[in-house]
Amino acid sequence: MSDVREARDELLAPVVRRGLGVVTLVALGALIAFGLWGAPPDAVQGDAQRIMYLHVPSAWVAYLAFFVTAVASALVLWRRTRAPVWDRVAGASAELGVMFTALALVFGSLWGKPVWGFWWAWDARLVSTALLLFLFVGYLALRRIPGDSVGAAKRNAVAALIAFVDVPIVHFSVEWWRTLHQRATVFNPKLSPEIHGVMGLTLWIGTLAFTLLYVYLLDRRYRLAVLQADQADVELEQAILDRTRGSSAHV
Amino acid sequence: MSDPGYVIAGWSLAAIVLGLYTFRLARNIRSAEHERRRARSESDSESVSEAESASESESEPGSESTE
Repeated sequence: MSDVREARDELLAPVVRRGLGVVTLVALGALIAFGLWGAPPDAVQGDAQRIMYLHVPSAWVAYLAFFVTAVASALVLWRRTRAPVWDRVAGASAELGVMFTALALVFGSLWGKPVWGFWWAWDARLVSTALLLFLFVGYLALRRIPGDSVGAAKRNAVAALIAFVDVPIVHFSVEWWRTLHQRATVFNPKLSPEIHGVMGLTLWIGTLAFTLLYVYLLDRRYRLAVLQADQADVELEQAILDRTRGSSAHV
Repeated sequence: MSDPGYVIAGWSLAAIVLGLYTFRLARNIRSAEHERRRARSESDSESVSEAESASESESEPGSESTE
């Protein structure tokens, strides 16, 4: 990006990152303790309910990750805020969003078999979530196509914003259509969680732990993107130097 | 525990996928940082040797008078 210089080598300060890593580990430990032992089995679903402590946080983090991708992409498209940092944040967050969406689908399937009796249904929530996964896999593939930095960043940003349109469709699919998938338990239209006690607490711990993990991984993935961009620049400079030396030797 | 297979599969999958992703990310960062340090030290030593050879050629007696 030519008009704005590179500003950030890392998203988080090292001390913040280390603290975040420790807090994330503690939160994940609490999730394991509550999710596998602390929370009681559900009266109807039995222990299969324990998969929900992974499925719901994964789906939440997928929403969050794609939201961050969409905001960063909008900042890329807006000339005044255009900078490599936003393109890298968008790419890093989309990769995490894809991973958490895939996990949410697999956890949902592992829960669906014992509770519904089948792994998959052509249900609006499930299909729109699978579509979301494919849209952002396509976005990540698009990012790998070379091009000039500003042009490629703009192209990626437009693709991310188009793909993000599916996120509200996924979320509201259970309200708009008659679906097998249950309605939102926590982020419902009334914003009144329908899960309480230790089970509710476990779900909140899971959501917190996965959100912290997402922030930590976003910082690390961003760092890797910066290093890879540096490496590409060094290789390009070396190639130009080699070619210049080669042509001057011929002369 | 009812349906233990599904619960164990789900939690094991979470541990494996998230653990592996975090581990690979850390390893790739370490390797890229190592590569960057190596490239920087190489370019530093190249520029030092170029500067040395330039100063040597300037200090050689009669080097300017040959032109």
